[in-house]
Amino acid sequence: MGLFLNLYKLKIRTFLGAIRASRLSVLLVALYFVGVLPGSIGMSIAIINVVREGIDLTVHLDSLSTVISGVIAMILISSLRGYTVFEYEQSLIFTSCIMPRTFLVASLLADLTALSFFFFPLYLFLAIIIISLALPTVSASVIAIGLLLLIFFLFFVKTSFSILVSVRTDSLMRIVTAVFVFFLLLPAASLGIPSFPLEYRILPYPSTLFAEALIDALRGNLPVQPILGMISFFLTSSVLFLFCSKKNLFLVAKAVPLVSPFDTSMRMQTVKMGQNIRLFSRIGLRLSLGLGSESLLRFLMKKELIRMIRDGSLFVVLVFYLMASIIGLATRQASFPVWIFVLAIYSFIAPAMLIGNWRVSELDSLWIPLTSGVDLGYIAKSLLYDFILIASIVPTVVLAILAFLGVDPFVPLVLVISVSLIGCSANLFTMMHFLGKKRRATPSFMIGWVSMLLTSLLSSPTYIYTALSLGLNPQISLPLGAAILIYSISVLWFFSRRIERKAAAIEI
Amino acid sequence: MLEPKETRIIQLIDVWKAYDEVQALRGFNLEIFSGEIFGLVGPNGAGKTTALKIIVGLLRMDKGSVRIKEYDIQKEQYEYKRFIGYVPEVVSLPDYLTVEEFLIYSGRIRSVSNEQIRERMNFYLRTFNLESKRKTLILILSRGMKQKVAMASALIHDPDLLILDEPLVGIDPAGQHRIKQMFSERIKEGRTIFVSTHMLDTAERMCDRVAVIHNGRNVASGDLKSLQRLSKTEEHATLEEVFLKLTEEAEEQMAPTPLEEPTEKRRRGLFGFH
Repeated sequence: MGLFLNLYKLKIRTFLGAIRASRLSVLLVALYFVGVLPGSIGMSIAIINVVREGIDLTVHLDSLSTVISGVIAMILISSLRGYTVFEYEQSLIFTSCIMPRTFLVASLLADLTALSFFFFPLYLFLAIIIISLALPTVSASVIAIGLLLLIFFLFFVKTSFSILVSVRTDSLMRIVTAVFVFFLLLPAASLGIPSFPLEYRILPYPSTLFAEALIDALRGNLPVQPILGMISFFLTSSVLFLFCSKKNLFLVAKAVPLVSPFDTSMRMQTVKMGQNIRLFSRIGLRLSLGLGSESLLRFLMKKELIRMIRDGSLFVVLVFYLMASIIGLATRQASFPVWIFVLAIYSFIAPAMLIGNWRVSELDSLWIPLTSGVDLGYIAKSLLYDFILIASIVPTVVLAILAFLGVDPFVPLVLVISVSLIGCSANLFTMMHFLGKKRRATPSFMIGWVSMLLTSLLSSPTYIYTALSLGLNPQISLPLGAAILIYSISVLWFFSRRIERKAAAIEI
Repeated sequence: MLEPKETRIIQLIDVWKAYDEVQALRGFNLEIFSGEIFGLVGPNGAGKTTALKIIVGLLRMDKGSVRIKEYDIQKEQYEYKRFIGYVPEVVSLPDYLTVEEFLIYSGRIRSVSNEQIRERMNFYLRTFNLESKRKTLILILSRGMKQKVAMASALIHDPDLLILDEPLVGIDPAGQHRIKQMFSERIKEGRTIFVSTHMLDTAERMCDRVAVIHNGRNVASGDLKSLQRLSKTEEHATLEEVFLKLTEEAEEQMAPTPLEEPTEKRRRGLFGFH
């Protein structure tokens, strides 16, 4: 028991330690709660109103079951990686005399505790519903029991499947998992095809049982059958878990770096970047850096382009603008230009993201150009030109396609190019400034805030032009747009000279 | 042991450097001549890495002057780096490049011709037994392999002066042997190697002369014989024994104070410049 408790405490401390790794992590956790709470309260009020209006909730049974099935499917798919542990667990815990089952149970409870921490808004959501609808104690208990049964079922299934995938050398478990996922999601087709014979409501899936239990409890009924069904799933998964926990998972577990989504420290960013490089380099290795006759500037630009392909930066920009184009096409008839709003946000974020990624990838290896004797102005120029190219050309291509489909591209084009020119130069200038003497210890989020503030201040004429031009005729909009572009080029020119000077003063 | 030649390659005069609240260098002096392997030894936090970083242009000194060959590094910030190859203690390389791409990048930014890059890259990949890793992403390499790649990169422009921070740490015995062989070949060609290390036995065997740095000052420098005389240790005392004696004496005589102002007395160092 002592060993079990110690392990549980260690895992919880490690989890909380990841949050405390930087001030931004704490800020992000706070933002998460602040951001999620209004949503939870809003959703609970909506459900309360639906119940009070006497709407039959059973009509939503299939939709709710689909959502829960989706969650179960995702968990099953995630188990295909096999059983993973953190590196510290492999070196510290697996080399001790602890038994696999003790480790698994302690891990399971620690994960549940960690999850409870982040699912806090869910409890609030349920509490508001239970109190507002004055549900009887039995119904409230049924909701709580149903939720607990579902959570334990998911944990047991995920752990057992992961262990079995790791233990078995053949692909049987992968096939079994794929079959489970297929049949789990198949009834979702009935939402789109009314004549589809398989519906969740007629199938005793854990997702259907939980959805039924929840709806019955909200209507004040006692869902005996669904709860009994859930208990049987829970017991089956427990037996599977007990069976799998006998396996010596220490021999087959795969070590992964401890990466918390809330840990934004530089060290963690580098680890996450390493994972991106592993993923994207498969595509990125097709373009390589060879011995060519191009100028040094072009060579350095090519090297930066390769970095952006291999660390996934370019992919993110492509996804940004692909989403913007889909929104653009879907809302081209709408009176409010939603997609211009989306473009304004993306064009603002893209340069900050590109330069932030450069910092994570390159900061530790900056000693190479700094000790080489190369004029650092070349490095700064190559970076700036690449960032502008990526941040402008990708959306320009997207806008050209949209123009072909009948969307007027002029204002969005001015917006994207202008904000890219300003954003890239302002972000890079701020970054270089903070890499100068005695400034390196500045937290990355502070640099991000300063960059974004500077970009937003300098881009305000562009945003004002974009907002005004929607109501202007082209005779006024065109020269104004040209003036905005000239202004943006002036900002770029102003910063580019200073960036070169700042690059020469970098200290690491 | 080779006799130090007359040409002065590195000269640090009265170099001061402070980080926020820590005085890393306090009037540090040093002279290194061509054709020698020079070792900088000192306890943790003595200022070894700071001194190296100032020489290679990664840090700016607060006060003092540094000359590399005929160049004043404050006035001519780029030119002197053509003669330098540097490998830091903690090697961090661009993980997203393959070994070959990285060596090409290292060569291109040092204005090495394509032919020379190809020739030297092939040579060092063979020397460090990295030929099979040519097309491998640096991310995948072990720490020791990264160290070897960094060493190849520092040699791609065939520099006159190699500056290495703990060059043998993390490298396998065969790799260490090859590096030591390469050191002696370069010394025979009249080139200079400046290493900072904790490994006193290696420094004793490898270096022609060493400097002992303590609390940001050059406590003593010279060959083993002269250091034995300075420390008043026995004739057969090892560098480790000499080092311990010298640093103990320095500790007794200089109580460190944070952020000292440079004074004439302190500028001379304990034993004076050797």
